[in-house]
Amino acid sequence: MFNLVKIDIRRLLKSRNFYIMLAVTAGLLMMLVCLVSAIADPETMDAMQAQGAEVTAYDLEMSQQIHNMPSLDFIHECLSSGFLLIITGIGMSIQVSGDFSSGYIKNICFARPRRRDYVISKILLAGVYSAAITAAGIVFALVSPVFFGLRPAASPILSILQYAFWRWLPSWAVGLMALSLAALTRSSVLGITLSVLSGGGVIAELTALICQRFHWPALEQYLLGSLARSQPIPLPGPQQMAMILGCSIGWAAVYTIGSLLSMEKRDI
Amino acid sequence: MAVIQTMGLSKRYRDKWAVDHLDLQVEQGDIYGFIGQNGAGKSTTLKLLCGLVRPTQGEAVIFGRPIRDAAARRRVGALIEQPGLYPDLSGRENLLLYAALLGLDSPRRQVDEILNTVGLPAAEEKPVKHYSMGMKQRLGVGLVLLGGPDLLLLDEPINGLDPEGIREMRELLLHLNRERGLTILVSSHILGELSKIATRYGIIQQGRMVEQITAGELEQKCADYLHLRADLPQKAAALLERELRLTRWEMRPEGEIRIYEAVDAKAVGQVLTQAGIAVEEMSLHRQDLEGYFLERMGGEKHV
Repeated sequence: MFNLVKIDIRRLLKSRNFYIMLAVTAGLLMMLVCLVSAIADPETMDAMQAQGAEVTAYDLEMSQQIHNMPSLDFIHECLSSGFLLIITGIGMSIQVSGDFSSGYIKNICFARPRRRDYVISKILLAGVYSAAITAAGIVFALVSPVFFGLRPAASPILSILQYAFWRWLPSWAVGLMALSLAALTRSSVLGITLSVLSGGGVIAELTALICQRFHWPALEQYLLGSLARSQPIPLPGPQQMAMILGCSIGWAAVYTIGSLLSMEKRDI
Repeated sequence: MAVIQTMGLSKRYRDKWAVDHLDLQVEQGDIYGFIGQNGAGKSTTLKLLCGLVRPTQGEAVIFGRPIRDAAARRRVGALIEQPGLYPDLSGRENLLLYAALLGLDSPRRQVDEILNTVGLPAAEEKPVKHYSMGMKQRLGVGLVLLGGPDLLLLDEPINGLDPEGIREMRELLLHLNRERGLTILVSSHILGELSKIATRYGIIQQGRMVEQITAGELEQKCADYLHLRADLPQKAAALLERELRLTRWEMRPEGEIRIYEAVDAKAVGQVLTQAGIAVEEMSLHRQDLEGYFLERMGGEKHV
C-alpha cells in the first residue's frame, strides 16, 4: 500500500499534467486579479469617465471595498467560483485514466493484486492533488494582488488555514468522483466533462430546476458544486461547516464504493 | 518440476468461452511456445495466470502455489500485450516506479543493471512516447526482469519489431533462459521465430489446448514421411507392416497412410500391386513446423 502511494506521489511530481494544472490555476487567478485591479483603479475610473462611461456611487464604493478588503475576503472572492473543483477534477481524471490508457494498471494489479489497495492509494492521491491545487490557488490569490498594485489587509494565518480546509474538502470529493469515473470508463472523458459541469454549477442548476418542477426539497444544496460556490462569507458557520463536512464525506463514500466496485468487478 | 500448471482453467465472457477447460503444464527451464490464432485465448490465458482476470472455472498454480499467493507472484514477471509504460516518463523513470512498487532494495542499481541487460542506455532521458517499438519492447522485458523473477510470461513480445529487433529479442530470451535459468512462457503467432527458441509448445484453439509437445517430439513428427493413398487402406497398411517390417507409420482418419521410416517407394508399390491393391497417390513429404501447427489448428487459416 505504502509503495503504491509512493509511486503515485512520485509520478505526480514527474507528470507534466500536474504542472500544467498549477500553471492554469495561476494564469486564471492572475487574469481575475488583473480585472479586479482594473475595476478598483481610480485612474481607470477617470479614464472611463473621460470616455463617456457612467461611473456611479456604487462603482466607487466597490472600488473602495476592494482596496480595503482583508486578504481572506480577497482570496474568497477569487476562489468562490468553483474553478478549483474543475481543475482538481480534470487533473485527477487525467492522472487516473493514465494508468489505464498506458497499460501501467497491468503492472500495478500484477504487483499488488488487492484492488482495494489501488483505490485507497488513489483516495490519498486525490487528497494530495486537491490540497496542492487548493494551496496553490490560495497562494496565488494572496501573492498576485501585489503585482497589480493592490494591498489587501493581512488576515490571520489560522483563518486562512481554516478557509483552505473548507475549500479543500469538496475538491477532494470531486477528485474521488474523477477516480470513480476513470475506474468505471477507463477513460478521462466523462470525468473531465462532469468536473466542468459540476464545478461550473450546471449540475446544481439543473438539479434545482428539476426539484422546482417536481416540488421536491432543494436537493441541489447537497451537491459538491453548490458547496464550493454558495458560501457567502469566507469562513462557514457551524451549520454550513456540518453541511460541507457531511456532504463531502457522503459523496466521497459514494465515489469510493463506486471505484471499489469498478475495480473489483471488472477485469483488467 | 511443473512451474505452471492449470487444471480446467476457464474464462467465459458473456456466452463465449475465451479459455475453455485449459490444461497447461510448463516445466522448469522451458521456453514454452504458446501458439494459437488471433482470438484463440492466448492473452486471456496469460491474464488469468497473472491474476488480472478471474477464472470462471478451474485453477492455476505457479511454483506449486495458487496464483494469488504473494510469494509465488514475486517469482514471476509478466508482459501482457503492450508493455505498460507511462509515455511521458523516461524508460529509467518507468523502471524506478516499478522498482518502488515492488519495494526493491537499492532500486537505482537494479534499474541500471536491467537497462544494461536489455541493451538500453541508462542515461536516456527522453520520454517513452518517443521510443521506437523495439526500445519499448526491450523496456517492457526490462520491467518484467525487475525483482529477479524465475518465470517470465511474455505475450507477443516480438509484435511490431523489425527483423533486427526480433533477432535481439530472441537472443535476449535465449540468454535469460540459458545463462540465468529463467523459465519462459512466450506467446506468439510468428511460428518461425518461436521454433528457434522454444523447447516445448502448447497449441491452443478456441480456448482449448489442442496439443502440448516438446521440441524433440515435434522434430520427430515433422520428419520426412512417405505419403500413400491406396485402395483398401486398412488392408494395404497391414500388408506393408508385415512385408516391409514397418514400425513407424500411421493411418490418418481420411485413409492416408504415412510411413515415417526410410523405405523404398518402389518396394511399397510392388508389394501393393502384387496384392492387387491399387496405389492412388504416393509421394515423399517433408512437413515444416508451420505446416504442422496449421494442421493441428484446423487448416491453413491465418495464425
